[in-house]
Amino acid sequence: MTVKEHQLSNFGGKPLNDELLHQIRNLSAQEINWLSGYCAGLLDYQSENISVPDVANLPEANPVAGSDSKSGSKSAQPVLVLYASQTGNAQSIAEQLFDHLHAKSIAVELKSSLEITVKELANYSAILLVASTHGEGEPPDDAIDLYEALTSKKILSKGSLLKDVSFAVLGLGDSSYEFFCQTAKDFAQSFTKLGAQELTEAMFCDVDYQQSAAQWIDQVSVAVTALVAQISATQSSASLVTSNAVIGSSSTPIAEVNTSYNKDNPFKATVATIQKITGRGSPKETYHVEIDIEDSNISYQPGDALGIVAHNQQPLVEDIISLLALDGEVSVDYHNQTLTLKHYLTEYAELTLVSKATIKALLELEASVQLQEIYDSGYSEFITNHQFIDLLHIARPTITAQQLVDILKPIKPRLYSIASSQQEYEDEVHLTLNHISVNNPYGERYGLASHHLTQTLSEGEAVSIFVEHNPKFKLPAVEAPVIMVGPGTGVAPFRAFLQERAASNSTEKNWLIFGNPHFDTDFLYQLEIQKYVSSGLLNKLDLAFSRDSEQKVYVQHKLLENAVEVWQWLEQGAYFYVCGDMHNMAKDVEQALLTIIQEQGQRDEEAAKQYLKALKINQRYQRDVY
Amino acid sequence: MSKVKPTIYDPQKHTAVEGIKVNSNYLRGTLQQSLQSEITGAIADDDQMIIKFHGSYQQDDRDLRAERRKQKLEPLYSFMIRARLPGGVASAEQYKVLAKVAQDYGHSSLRLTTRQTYQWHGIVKRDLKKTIAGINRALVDSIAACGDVNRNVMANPLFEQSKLHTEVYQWSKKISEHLLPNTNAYHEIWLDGEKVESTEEPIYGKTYLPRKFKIAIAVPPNNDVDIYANDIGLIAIPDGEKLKGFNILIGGGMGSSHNDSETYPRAASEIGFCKPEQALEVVESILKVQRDYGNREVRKLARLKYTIDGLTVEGFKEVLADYLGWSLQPAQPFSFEHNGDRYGWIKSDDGRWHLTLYIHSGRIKDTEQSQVFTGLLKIADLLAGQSDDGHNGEFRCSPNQNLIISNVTEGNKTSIEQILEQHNISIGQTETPTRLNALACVAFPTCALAMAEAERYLPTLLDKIEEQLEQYGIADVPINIRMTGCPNGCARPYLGEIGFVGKAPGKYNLYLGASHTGDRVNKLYRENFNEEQILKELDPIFASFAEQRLSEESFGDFVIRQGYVSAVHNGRDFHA
Repeated sequence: MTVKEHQLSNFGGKPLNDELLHQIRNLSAQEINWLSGYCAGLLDYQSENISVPDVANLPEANPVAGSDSKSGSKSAQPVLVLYASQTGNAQSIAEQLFDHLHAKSIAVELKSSLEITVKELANYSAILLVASTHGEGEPPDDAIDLYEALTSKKILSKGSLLKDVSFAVLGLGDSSYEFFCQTAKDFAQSFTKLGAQELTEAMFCDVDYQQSAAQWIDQVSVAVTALVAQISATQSSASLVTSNAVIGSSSTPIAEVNTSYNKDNPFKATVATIQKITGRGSPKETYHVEIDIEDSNISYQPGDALGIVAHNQQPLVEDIISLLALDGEVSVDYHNQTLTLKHYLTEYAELTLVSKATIKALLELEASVQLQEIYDSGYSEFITNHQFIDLLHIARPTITAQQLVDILKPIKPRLYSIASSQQEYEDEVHLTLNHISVNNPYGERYGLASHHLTQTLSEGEAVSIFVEHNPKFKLPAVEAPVIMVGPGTGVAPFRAFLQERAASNSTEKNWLIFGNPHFDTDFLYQLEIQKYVSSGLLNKLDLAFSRDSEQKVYVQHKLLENAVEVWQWLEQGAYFYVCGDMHNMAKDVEQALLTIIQEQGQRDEEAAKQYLKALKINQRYQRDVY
Repeated sequence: MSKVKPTIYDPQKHTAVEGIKVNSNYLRGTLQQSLQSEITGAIADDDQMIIKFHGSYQQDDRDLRAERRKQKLEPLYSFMIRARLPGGVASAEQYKVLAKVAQDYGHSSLRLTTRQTYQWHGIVKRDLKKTIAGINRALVDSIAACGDVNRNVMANPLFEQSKLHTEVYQWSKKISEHLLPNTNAYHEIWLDGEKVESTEEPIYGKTYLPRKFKIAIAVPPNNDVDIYANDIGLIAIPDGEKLKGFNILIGGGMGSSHNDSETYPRAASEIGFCKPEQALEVVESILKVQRDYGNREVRKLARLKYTIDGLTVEGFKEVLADYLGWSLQPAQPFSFEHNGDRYGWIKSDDGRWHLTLYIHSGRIKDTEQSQVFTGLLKIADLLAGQSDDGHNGEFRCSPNQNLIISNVTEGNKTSIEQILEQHNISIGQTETPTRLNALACVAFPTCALAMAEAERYLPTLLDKIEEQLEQYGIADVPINIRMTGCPNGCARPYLGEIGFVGKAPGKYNLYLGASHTGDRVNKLYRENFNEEQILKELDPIFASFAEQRLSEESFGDFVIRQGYVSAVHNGRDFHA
């Protein structure tokens, strides 16, 4: 018999019968926890009420202790018990604390650090954190995202995010390590920096933590009870004491502010994150870029594009000038302005795209057999991996600075499908883009904006942007299922769609078809897509990793494989979206769609085309291809 | 009949793993669905436990974890597959197939384990089935190579007495087959075998064993299988050229948890002797006692060693006699001389040649220095291409992560030497005895349990330790050094005269004082040391060893005589 049991059976001359005692001894730790909380609550209840509630109703029948005349309809913020657990010890302490508070009828929620974002932390009156530390002061795996977010400069710059929040911290660790309980300490420090107030002194436990943890639970529950009482006193009509706190998602509708930013008057935003999202060994260099648009009043809808105004790279400008043996400082006229040649080439000239007119103009200046051939028959192949400077390498023309200005086209902003929803990221715009980089015999060539965004800029620097609205690529105005075909970076607008659908609690079905070369390295936004699948937001997901099998499998093959369901969805009113490569993918997908309509809808070719046309007219077939 | 009832699964008290086993429909789980899921390179949580019984672990590249999280990619999951290879023996033909599978799916790398078998690492989920089917073409399987069952049965070679050795090797196969799980799950899932609805596990039952279970056979005077580290050890007792029977040892085991004195490594206890024909009945009964008495509530206390210390050795013997219906005879005398590999060529009494190769950390993979993967495959090609008498050379895994090419004819010896030379493969003639005896587990980047480096780091540390040994003129004294990345004991660190057990990146607990023959575990000497601290601590001990060593005294015995640590005679002394 353990000491506790001994005490139990001797307490007050054995108040419980043997059978009940026996039953209690056979309970699991969790059940005993629950029971202890329940008994505490029961005691409170009995002190204020005469009758005891029916035992059979217990778990649900949470007596509203202390719900006196003060209680009103306006609910205050609940208390959060948060755990960052590696082996389950922190979780089990958090569960004990939760049970404890729950039994006191305090509105409390229990969450893992995996289930919460920094912003959501502000929705609570108090955060009670139990955090373990492993390795050399590292947070548990499940807590890494929250930990990195909480310790990032971006968040810490928002100094008062948690100003209305109190917190208490219990650390679990091993004092034989140098960074004892470091995770708990770091969390506490971040909470303080964000304006939160410490509710009770943090406690840091060593390997034998049970006793100190129990002590901490007692301290915290006293402090939380006092805090709750204080809050309900100040908010005279509020009550934290509810049996089942519900936090509504406070998604406020975005005001339709008409921003006047455009390519000639872009907004200088800040690049917050530049992150390569294809893994090591990938044939692709795909980046996720987050741009901060706080205080810009910019508003956009999923499906819109972001314009990037970028300047030409200095090395490229200098190469052109030296190749033509010109002087960069010489003045040229451009649209009634006088500029230096270098200034013009940097900011006003289109140097990465080659227009056919420019080739023609060059040929008029200087005859070149090779260039003539490109002009006559090799243009479309040539432009896939060449830029304006390569024309100069080939033709070696004699040309003046002003002639150069006259044959070049004005620089164009680059448009990218936006990969985020403002319902989820109010002050941010996200992009998904490939860094364009090709080698040809004359040198290495880069995409204008993709190189600027991913290689030249650093996080924290400014970038010139504007929103290009795209009314032709929008989620259905009515509730309807959607099929989204977005291989490669074509997945970008669908990430925005899914965020929007998640935030608006849409109950309609979503189907994503994604493809890329390799599963291991090129499954863009894999972790997010996995969460959407497990949350049920994505009802169907099909993946085509073309290089992982002997036969190359592309998105159109996945459509054909699922022909029966594609047809069912269409007949149920589904909207069909395609984003990505115009030249091959979009054509192949359209052909697959026509095949499905013919075969599943039992129509001839002409009727299938009519069906597809009707889809287009009804905006149920939308494309964003490039 | 026995007083003891078979374990009845109790969801209230037993660990979650027990529930997973019970609900797995005899090790099928949801593996089929997990393999089909395209959204992740991982398998379902419960299946990660079940797949161990099929000889595979899910792992991920821990070097890439943080980077990939930022890339919004899941960890780079892959699988390790471990073959079941009793006695570590494969024919040249079989080796060829196993190596080709590594070429196709496993980055042209094979890992020799400390339990006489091969592992393939880095197999992605979509190749898993093809890999296991490929291994099967060599008539090799991976059933029960991991999991809560009897694992690969070890048996060490004794080439000087080939008849005795052959007999012993046959017993390792018989024991392995006898204790295989009966379920058809492996064939259904991996080999497209016909689905069998009814399955029974006459030996194991639905919950299998409480924890892993390891058996080895040693032929004295060699203890290279580390017999004292096994749940059951059988020590072959000869009668001339024939096998007279086995001494039975029980309750060895390496694993322990940091800062938890309830857990400890334990050297096995000798409990008696049985005749060869009784061996299957004896091992089955010991396994059944463990099945019924083992702790299923706390996994870290579930190994046989804790069951025995709970019952006491005498108590365990009584229960065993009850299961057997008879008692073991008294143990017979024997003696061990060493527990390391003997490198180079050995000629056996039947005129065949056997070559033990030093394989650095057991890793058969081409590097710039040594093209060991390619070279060994060429040797396999050479031997497999001949048809002398169907007995044309074997590839044997040594118990210390090395490879033995055995049963080689005089004629092939020279060709093999040429291939080795062309591919810079060491036969252990240039390394110090300490390096030749050193063992390290895989650890980073693939092992999920690792807290510190092992295989990738030990060679660097050895360079520095060798310098010290050289300085004190004791470089020719073999010292067993073993390193693991965590306390679970894969490279048997607690049997190292010097043991390093990882605590955190760059930090190790330092253990001293195991015996050189492997019958006494070591003891914690210093905690949480980095390389500089380790070398500073060892330096004066080496100096004193060089000066005050008694004749033929081993390093492990020396540190005890000098009082650096006290000797651990039984498991519970480990923390005392």
